[in-house]
Amino acid sequence: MQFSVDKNNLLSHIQKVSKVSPTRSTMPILNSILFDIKENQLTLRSSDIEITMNATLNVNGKEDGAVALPTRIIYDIINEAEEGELILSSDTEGACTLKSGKGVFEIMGRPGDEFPSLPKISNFNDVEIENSTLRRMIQKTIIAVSKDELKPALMGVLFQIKRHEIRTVATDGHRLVCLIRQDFQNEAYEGEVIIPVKFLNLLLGYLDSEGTTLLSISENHVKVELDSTVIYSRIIDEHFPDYESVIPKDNDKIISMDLNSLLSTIRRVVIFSNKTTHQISLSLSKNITKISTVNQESRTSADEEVDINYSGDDMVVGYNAEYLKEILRNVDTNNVILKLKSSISACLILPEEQKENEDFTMLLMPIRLNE
Amino acid sequence: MSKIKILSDQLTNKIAAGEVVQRPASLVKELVENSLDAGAREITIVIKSGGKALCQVIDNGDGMGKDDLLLAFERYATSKIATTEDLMAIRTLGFRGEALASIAAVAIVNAVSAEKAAESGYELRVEGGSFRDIKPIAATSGTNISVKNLFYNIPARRKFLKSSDVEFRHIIEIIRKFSMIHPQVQFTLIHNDKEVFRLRPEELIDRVVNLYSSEYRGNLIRVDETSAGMTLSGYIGNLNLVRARHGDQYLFVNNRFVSDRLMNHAINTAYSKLISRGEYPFYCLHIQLDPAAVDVNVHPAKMEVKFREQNSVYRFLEDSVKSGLKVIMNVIPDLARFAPEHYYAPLPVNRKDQPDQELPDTEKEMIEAQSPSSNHDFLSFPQTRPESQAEMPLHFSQGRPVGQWTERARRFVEQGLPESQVDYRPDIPLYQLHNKYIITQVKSGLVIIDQHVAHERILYDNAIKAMSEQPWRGQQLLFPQIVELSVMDFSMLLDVIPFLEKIGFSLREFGKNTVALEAVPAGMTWGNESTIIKEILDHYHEFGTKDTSIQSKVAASYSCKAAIKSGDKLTEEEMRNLVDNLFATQNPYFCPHGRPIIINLTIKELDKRFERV
Ligand SMILES: Nc1ncnc2c1ncn2[C@@H]1O[C@H](COP(=O)(O)OP(=O)(O)OP(=O)(O)O)[C@@H](O)[C@H]1O
Ligand SMILES: [Mg+2]
Repeated sequence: MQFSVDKNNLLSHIQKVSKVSPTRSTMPILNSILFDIKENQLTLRSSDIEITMNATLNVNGKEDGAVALPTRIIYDIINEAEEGELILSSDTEGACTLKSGKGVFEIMGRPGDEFPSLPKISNFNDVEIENSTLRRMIQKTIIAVSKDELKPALMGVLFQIKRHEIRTVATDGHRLVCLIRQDFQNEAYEGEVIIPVKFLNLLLGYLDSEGTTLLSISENHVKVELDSTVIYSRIIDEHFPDYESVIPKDNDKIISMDLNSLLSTIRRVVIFSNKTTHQISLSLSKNITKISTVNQESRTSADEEVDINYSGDDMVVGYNAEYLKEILRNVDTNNVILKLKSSISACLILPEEQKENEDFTMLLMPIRLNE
Repeated sequence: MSKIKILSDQLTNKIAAGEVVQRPASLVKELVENSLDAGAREITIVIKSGGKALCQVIDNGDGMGKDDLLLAFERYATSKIATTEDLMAIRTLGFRGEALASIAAVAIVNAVSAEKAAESGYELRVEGGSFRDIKPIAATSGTNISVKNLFYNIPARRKFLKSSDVEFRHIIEIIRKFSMIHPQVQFTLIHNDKEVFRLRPEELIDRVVNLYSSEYRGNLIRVDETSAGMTLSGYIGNLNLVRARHGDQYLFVNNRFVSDRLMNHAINTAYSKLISRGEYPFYCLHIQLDPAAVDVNVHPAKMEVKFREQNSVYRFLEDSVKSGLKVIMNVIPDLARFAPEHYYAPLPVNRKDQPDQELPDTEKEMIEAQSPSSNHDFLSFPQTRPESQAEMPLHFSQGRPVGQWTERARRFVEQGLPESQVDYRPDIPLYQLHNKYIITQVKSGLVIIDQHVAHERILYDNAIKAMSEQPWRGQQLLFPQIVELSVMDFSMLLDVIPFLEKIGFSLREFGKNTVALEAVPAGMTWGNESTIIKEILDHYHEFGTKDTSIQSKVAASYSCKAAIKSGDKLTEEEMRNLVDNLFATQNPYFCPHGRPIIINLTIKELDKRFERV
């Protein structure tokens, strides 16, 4: 294999694909990037088995062939290389020479055919989504994704796709976020997939521009093509829990309050909470709620009142303040609505008003106060 | 005038009678007891072929005159008691007047004895129970009894004797006991013409160290308590001396070794928070009390006693040991504590220098010799008493590599640190090693923390607190977990539900043998809520004894199952949180099962390892 290319052109592509390379992997080959040259086209590929990313660029090809080069070292040397042209060549054993300016650098790689090939996928269903919509749908739900490897179904975001509606849902068993958009058209496909959070985080990096993104869904994979880059990901082949049945319909204690004053009060109070449970309590009474915490171990406590709009019965509920904070930060209206029923059932957290064609629901389970 | 009298029938009927001689070791026991009763300061035990050929005990005690020597081998002939009242308050080891008579019936006995100021001694030969001969002989004061060819006249019994090695081990164990309760008496043991050891008069702690290893010195806790006419003295071992096998537990009552389940239970109870099932602490304790308050006449082997006020002795024992154990925090456990197999030297297999070949050393016997019920490896005795501590590099002198032992012992003595020296500082970085241990710097060097047991300790303490004081909060689950149980587990669950609820679980009955788990302890992250209940029940079922309270069983099961596992990756913040919480617990050094949580490596130790000093 041999080719020459402009340093900056190569560097920007390596930066992209290196995001997929695991830093440490039990399969050493995955700690490298595949360089594959066919005539004047260079394909770079990285993979962590779950996700595979392909980036192509035009180069000056001399000899076809492929080599896998260690991600760290190839990235560092190209980053530090002098401006201008680089010449890379390798033999079939994987020994690679990089020439840059007056420098000659020898790198030991692996033969290209040892690198995992692209997933063989057929029968893609293409779903086209507006970039801004997709970004919002991911950003809002991703906070509730579980990190717990023993609950694989919850380690991604559920995409439910219908003809005229798309939903994203995520939950970790303690809280749940569900976002529904009706301004969506899709004639070809109806179905649902759980997409791993790592893929969605990668994808977010490509959604800043105007335009649309094509999500291609197959039985086991999801794929996006973004200009010269293609990302493949396995989808999570698990059963997502029946989330609709746990979203309460009859929560009749309705509170509305200023989002920022609530958030800043919680931030102050949580300093005094138990470091394991992060438990705070909200004591609701007419038009006022007291937010408080007591930490038995450190003998500290905090109490602060917040004005609210509420006319129901007095009630005390406890929450994990860290969860509550994350959920409230997700709200993008000035006021937030809480809908409650009892101190042991789910609380609905909603924006003051829904965006057009959108239904955005969050849900948080309380901590029992045993009082 | 003879000192020995034949007991009246009326009195002999009151004595717990039974078989006195079962094996060479029981014979040696009787002979040594007699020597000790005669006030001997030096006792030499000569054994051949594990005692099957010869058991000889030579003492420098009071000795016997001609008449006494003849009487001594009669049944119920004793100088130690005379009346029923005497039987109620026995101060001597012997009292039945039976031992020598029984021995004489099953072996060939030769006894030489001379009283202190006597002109001459006498030699008596007894064979198969009948006198052969008595004649004057020149002898220094004291008694020398040799017993040859045990069971020569009862072949069936002789056949049941074990190999010489095994029998000799039993003898060693008997002498070990005597020597521990009489550190001021010199004991010399000779086997097959070789001196196995010579224990010179010394302090108890030195005796224990000489009997075991120098490692013991730094790990013994002195006990000295007096209460209501009872005194308890001796040593208990800290957790470094806890072994996975039974055997190093010595309890003496008025100079007599006793095996008393109840009293041993009292001691184990005192340890109970620190050790778990299948672990045995070391102790060598001596209860002294009014002989009238304890009945030794309950079993023919004289190894059991009955306390008149059993409960108060029990409490005294438990309390004394508990208060001794308070200092246990001062010593952080040894690195190799859980390798008891390193601790005991392996048994010598088929050594050629053993002349005993009458009985084959079958493999079965070798196995038996190694099983926990058998006694200790006699090789752990120092063969000769070292002149000074510094010159005591060998615990046995068979040319076996003992570097490991001495190294451990040395390392051990150095690393015992008072609690205050583990000054954990929250601004110093923490490192996670193999997703298993947390390492951080402390003033004296470094500490290694086992993440699983550390978390277990924290959760256990939290759970106990939650059950007795403020309940722990429960995080409600969005998707209640349905848990199906067996009938057994379900009924067990009903017992423990009130305790589980206090630590934050919330369970609702949901059909037959099925529960819905609706809340879990807040702040806990474990993947599978539905299995945690089953795991807790399994552990609960296995853990502890009848005496452990439900509360601590539930707490232990919960903490064991809910704790982060070894292998879990922790963030810096999680590690910090864990270590902070650990040092806030009552006992950061041992987990609820008694395993060590923290190991300390001092700079001094590291300097030594790197040969800087
Ligand atoms: N080594 C000895 N030195 C001096 N006297 C001895 C010695 N051995 C035995 N005697 C005397 O012989 C007596 C009989 O001993 P023997 O062991 O048969 O009975 P005992 O010790 O009185 O009671 P027990 O049967 O409980 O051991 C003793 O009471 C003691 O007076
Ligand atoms: Mg006796």
